[in-house]
Amino acid sequence: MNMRTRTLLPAVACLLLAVPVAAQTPFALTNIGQRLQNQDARMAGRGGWGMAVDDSLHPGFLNLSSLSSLRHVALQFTALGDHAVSQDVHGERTTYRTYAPDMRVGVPVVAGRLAVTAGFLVDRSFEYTTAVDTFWTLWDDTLTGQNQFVREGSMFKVPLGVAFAPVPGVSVSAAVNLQRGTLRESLYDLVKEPTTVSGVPLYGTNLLVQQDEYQGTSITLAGALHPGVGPGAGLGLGLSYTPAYDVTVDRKYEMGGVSRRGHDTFTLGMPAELRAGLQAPIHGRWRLGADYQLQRFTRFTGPQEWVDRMRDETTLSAGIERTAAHQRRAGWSNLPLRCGVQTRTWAYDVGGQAVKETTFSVGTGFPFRQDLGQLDVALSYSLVGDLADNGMDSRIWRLALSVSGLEKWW
Amino acid sequence: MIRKAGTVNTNPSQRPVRAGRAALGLAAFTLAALTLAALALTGGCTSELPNEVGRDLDPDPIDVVLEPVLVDQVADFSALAVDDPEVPLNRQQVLYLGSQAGTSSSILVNFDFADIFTEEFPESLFTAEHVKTVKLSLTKLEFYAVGDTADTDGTDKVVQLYYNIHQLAAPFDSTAYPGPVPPYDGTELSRDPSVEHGAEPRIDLYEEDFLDWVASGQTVGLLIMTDLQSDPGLVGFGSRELAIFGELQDVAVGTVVAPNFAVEFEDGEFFLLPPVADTSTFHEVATPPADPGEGFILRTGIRSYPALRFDFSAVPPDAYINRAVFCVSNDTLAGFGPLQSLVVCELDTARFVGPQGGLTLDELGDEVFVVTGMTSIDPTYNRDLRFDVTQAVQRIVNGVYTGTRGLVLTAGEDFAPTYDQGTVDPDFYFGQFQFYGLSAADSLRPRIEVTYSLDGAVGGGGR
Repeated sequence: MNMRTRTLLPAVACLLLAVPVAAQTPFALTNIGQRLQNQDARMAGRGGWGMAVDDSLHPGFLNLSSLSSLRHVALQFTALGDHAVSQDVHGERTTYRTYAPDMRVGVPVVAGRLAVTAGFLVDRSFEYTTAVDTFWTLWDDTLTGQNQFVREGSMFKVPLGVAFAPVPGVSVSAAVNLQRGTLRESLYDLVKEPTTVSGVPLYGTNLLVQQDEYQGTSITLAGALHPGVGPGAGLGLGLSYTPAYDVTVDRKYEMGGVSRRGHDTFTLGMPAELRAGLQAPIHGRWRLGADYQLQRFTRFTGPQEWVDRMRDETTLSAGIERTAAHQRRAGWSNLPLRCGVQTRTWAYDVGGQAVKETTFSVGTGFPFRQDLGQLDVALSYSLVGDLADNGMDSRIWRLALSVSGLEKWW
Repeated sequence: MIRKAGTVNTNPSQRPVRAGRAALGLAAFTLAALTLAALALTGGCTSELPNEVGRDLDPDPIDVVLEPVLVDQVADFSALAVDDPEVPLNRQQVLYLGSQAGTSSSILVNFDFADIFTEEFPESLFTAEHVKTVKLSLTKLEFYAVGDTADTDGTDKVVQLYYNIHQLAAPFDSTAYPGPVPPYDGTELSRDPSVEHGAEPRIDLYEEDFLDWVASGQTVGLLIMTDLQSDPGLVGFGSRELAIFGELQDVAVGTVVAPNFAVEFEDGEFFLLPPVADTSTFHEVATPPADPGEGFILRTGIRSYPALRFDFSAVPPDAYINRAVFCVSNDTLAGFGPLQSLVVCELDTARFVGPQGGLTLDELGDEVFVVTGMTSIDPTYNRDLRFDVTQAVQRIVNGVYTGTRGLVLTAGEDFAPTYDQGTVDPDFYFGQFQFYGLSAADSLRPRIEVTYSLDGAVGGGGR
């Protein structure tokens, strides 16, 4: 089986797993939704840091400026599977989902100096459903049924970028991100009883749908510094900045059975985002790294019920990694090892308090022949929210799989 | 860091080995396959059904949910007279005799004596010496012969009739009916009008009268009326047009279903003379109420279908109709006739033409849109009738029509095949539902019980 097939086969499988994101956490029921853990499995395994990565054989797409070192066409696909247990005062619910939030390609234009990149990246997700049994009394009948609220959708972007290394050890990039997305909120009043003799409910179900279509464009500027020699040899620094941008929202309301529709348009003012990271060697194959992300959602503009609960979103990732080796007969000790921790404060409050998310992760990887690709696996455990502070919490086991492939296509 | 694929790593402690890498690549692929399988399994795992977890973050509910409103104001009404030109009264399969609910009918029959002799029954047989008895034979439909099968004693629906037979001044014109009884000779032709003949009337006539008609060789018209001592009620008999013999009781082979002369000769032979024309007179037909205040009717035989347009101003625009039930109550003491299908249809109010205007059956079929119906409704037993007209009311509330629409109640006509489950059409039996009108008690008056929901976001308002 050749390299291309070994790269493409898992990629195709990832695409097949790119099903619509199913239920995640009830924290996604409101506001701008959950920021997804969408890094590749290598970064996920070591806590999520990767702004300072610069590796031509195992490229990272978190800081696009690192792609300037590419000498081959790079493809990367990431798929995740979640098992979440969420609880609040009303009970507990276990949910599963699989999704493929990240697909990237990098193409060298001038090997080692200039590259272009494109991809698909899911940024935020809103996926959860609630159901409450209820009853109504009218016309001397007692009707039983259920109120359901279904929230579904995601915000994603298509980054189109260029990376350039003007001098060895320094790289810069610029990317235009086509921001798109859909949020669909459906309110149901399902009247299950009474029914006809054949079991068809006598009363029609209410369905009120509010559907938002998001559209916008943002720009991301990034840079990285990797002194290859001297006192800073092995160190890496990375920085990216996305200025504030607007997302146009086209909102439709419709109620099932009613011919008239409602329509509205408005703008979401997304705040600027700053990311910074570093990596440093520890000893031998070991190195450590850390990233920091800040997006001041207190400066967000949009629906007032969202604005009233916004707070600045911050993410701190840290971890260590033992890089892969190729020693003869070294067996499993040649494998990379990764572990890390990430803490995040969500962009909005729930229950009047900030939502804290802490994730512990481990990971490893398997290089393909001649280092023309990599298969990475990461397992993480996230604690989202606090029952006392937020009125609910979620505990999520997550398995991430990424496939990176390099090819000389010309 | 720029690394080149397939070259020795710069770290002097690491030396690539091709065989090791091949095994590593195979292990990598195997693990990838296993991991994909794990992911696929995870994808195949089913999340627990949604429950109340997270309900505190639900948005505001729909503004108005399952609000009941009673629509009982009728803005427009018409008692539609519906006629089927293909089946005029003189071609209907049933002849009616008697009086009920303001409708009265007698039977007219024409017999042609011009060419009745055959080889088997030559002219020489038709003499006083050879003719033993002459009877006028009628065949009741089974519904009128045996009564309501739900009755334990079978007496509730059977109408006791006594017959008066008269000769018309001239044979009747079959196209002139419904209409007044034509002139007739007051002489009673039956031997004994006080005899009740039961399910198969064989009315004794005078042989001399019959022989006089034979000798004249003319067409003779007879009038069959009910005697004053008869029970009230309209009773149906088979006509010369009858083709649906399943509506009869079992009759002997060779029976002529239409009114006919049954002549018994002294030698025991029977001669049957069928009519050349027969019709019901329906000389009195109750006028359907023009004002629904006091009630309205649905009538078969001589069709009259009620059409009502309700005032939906109490239902807000852009409402979602969860359910709408059209309720009518039938006065079981005033209704009569066999089981019927009842069908609710939409009809443009421009076609509310009233009894004077009238519609043909084809015109009605082209104009209506069938909404719903019920089968096997007994006008003497089923009182409260409820029809689900949810979709019709939703269409009206949505304003999809350029004009105004009402609801018309019909019998099970061919244009409503789902509800046309009987073997006979509505012109076969003369029956009537008597519905309570707008002046009746709340639980009896016609109304539509509407349940709707509404949200201000639809129709231009924001949330």
